[in-house]
Amino acid sequence: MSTTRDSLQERIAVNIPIRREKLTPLLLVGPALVTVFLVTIGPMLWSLWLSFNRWTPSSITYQEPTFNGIGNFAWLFTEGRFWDSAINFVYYGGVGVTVQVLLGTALALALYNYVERRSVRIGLLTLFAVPMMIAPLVAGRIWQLLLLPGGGAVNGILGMVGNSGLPWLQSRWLGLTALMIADTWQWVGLPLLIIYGGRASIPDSMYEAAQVNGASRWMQFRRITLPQLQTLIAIAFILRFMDAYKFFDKLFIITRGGPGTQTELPTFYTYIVGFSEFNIGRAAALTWVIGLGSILTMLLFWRFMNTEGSV
Amino acid sequence: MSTARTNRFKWAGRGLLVVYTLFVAFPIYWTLNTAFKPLSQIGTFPPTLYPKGFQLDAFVWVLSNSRAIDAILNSLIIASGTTILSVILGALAGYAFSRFSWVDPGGHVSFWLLSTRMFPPVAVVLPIFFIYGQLGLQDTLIGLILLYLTFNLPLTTWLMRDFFDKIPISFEEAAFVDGYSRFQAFRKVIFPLVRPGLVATMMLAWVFAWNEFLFAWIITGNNTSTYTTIIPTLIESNQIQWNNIMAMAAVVATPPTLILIAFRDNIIEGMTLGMTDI
Repeated sequence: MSTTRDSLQERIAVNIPIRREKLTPLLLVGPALVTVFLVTIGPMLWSLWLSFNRWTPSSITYQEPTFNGIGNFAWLFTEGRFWDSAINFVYYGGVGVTVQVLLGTALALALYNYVERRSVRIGLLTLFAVPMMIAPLVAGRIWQLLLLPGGGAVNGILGMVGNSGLPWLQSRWLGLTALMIADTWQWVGLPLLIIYGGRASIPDSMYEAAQVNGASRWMQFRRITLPQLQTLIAIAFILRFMDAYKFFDKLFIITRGGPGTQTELPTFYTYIVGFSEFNIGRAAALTWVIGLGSILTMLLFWRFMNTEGSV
Repeated sequence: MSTARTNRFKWAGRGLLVVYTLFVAFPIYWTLNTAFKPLSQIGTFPPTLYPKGFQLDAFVWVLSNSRAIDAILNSLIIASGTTILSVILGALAGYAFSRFSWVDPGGHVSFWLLSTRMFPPVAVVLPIFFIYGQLGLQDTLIGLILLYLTFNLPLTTWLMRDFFDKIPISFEEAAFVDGYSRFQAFRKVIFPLVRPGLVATMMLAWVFAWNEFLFAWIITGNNTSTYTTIIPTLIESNQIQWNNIMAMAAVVATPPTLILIAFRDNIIEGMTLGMTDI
C-alpha cells in the first residue's frame, strides 16, 4: 500500500506544481478531522476535567462544578453498584463474546468447507448479516417478546417439549444470559463474516502441499487454518469487546437493569448516574474508567495474541 | 480423504449450520407472525405458531399513527442528511489518505481517526448534552445530524481510503498524461471505479444513523423524536399491544434489510472494515 503511494508522490511531482498539491490534501482531510476533533476529543477532554469536579446541576440549589480531586473516583471504587455492574460485565463480556467468536468461527469454517454451492453460501451469509442491520433497540423488543416468562415463544417451545420454562428476566444471571442470547443472535454474524473472509483467502495450495506430505485433517487445521486465522480471530474478539463496553440499547429495553439494579452493565449505570441522579462529575469519572478499561482490554488482547503467534 | 471421520465432521458442521440458521430466522419469523395476529392469539400457551385469521390491523395502526409516522420521517431526514455529509467528507479525506502519504505518516492519523470509534460513546454523551443545551442544538435535526456525522466519519474515511487504495495509481497517471487536472481525473476516472464502494459506505452510514438510540434519546425532544426514541414508550398502557409493536419493528427493519440484500457484497465488505470479500 505505502509503496504505491510513495511512487505516486514521486511521479506526480513531475507533472503538477508542488505548491498546489500541498494545499489540496490538507483541504481534503481538514473538514473530517476538525469535525471529529470538535465533537469527540473536545467533549472528552471537558469530561476528563469534570471527572475531577463535583457537579450536580439539577439539584435544587444550582451549583457550578467545584474541584474535589479524586473524590469521584474514590466514590466509584467503594460503590457496590459499580462493582456489581463490573462483575456483570465480566460475565456478559467474557462468556458472551467468547461464545460469539467461537461460534462464529465454527460456523464460518463449516460454511466454507461443507457447503458446496456458492449461491447457498452467499444466501446464508446474507441471512446471518440481517440481524446486524436491525436496530439493537428493535432487536431488544423482539427478544423481550420471545422471552416473556408466560406466553413467550421461547418458554412456549420449552413447554411443548415438556420443560416448564425458565423465569427469564427475573433473576440476575438469567437476565444477563437473556441479554447475551439476544446479543449473540444479533452479532455472531460479525465474527462469522470476518473469519469466513479470512478462510476464503487462504490459498488451496497450502492444503494440497500438506496433503501430499500426509498431514491429517486435524494437523491441517492446527498448522494451517488456525495460524492463518489467528489475527482475524483477535480482531473479532477486540471488535466485539469494544461493543460490549458500549452495550446499552438492548439492556435499556429488555431488563432496564432489573430486577432492581442486578443486571446493570457499566454503560447503563453511567447513564443512571448522569441522567437520573444528575451527578455529572461522578458520571464523567465512570465514563473515563470505562474508556480506559476498554483501551486496556484491547491492548492486552493484542499483546497476548501477538506473543501467542511468535511461539 | 473421504474417511468416516471427515464425514462425521461434515455432517456435524452442516447440522450446526442448520440449527444456527433456524436460530437466526426464528425471531424474524416470530416478529412477522406476531404482527399479523389478532391480540387474542399473543401470549397464549401453547404459542400460536402461525396467525389464524391473518390481520393487517397492526400495520394499519402504525401507518395511521401520527406519532409513529412523524418519528419515522424524522429518522429518514436525519439518516439521509448524515449520510450525504459523512460520505462527502469521508470520501475527500479517504482520497487524501490514499493518495498523499504525507498527510497520514505511517498510517497514524487514519488509525487515530478510527480509534475514536473505540471509546464508548457514553463518554461524550454528557458533555454533548450540556454543550448542545448552551448552543441551542438540543431537539434540532441539525444537532443530531452533526453528531451522527462525527460518529460515522471514522468508518467512512477508513472504508473510502480502502476502496481508493484498490484503484491502481496508474489510472490517474494516464489521465494526467492526457492533460486532466486532479479534479477531472477524480471525476472521470476514479469516481466511476469507486462508486460501488461509495454506495456501500453510504448505506452503512445510513443504517447506523437510522438505528442509533442513545444520543437520540438524550438530544431529541418532541419536535425531532426519531423512531428509536418512541419504541420504548410506544403503547406502554395497561396491556402491551405486541402486534402493533412488532408491526412497527417490521416496518423500521425493512429498509436496512432491503439495503443489505441489494448491496450484500459491498455491505459485507464494509461491515468487516474491508476484511471480507465474498
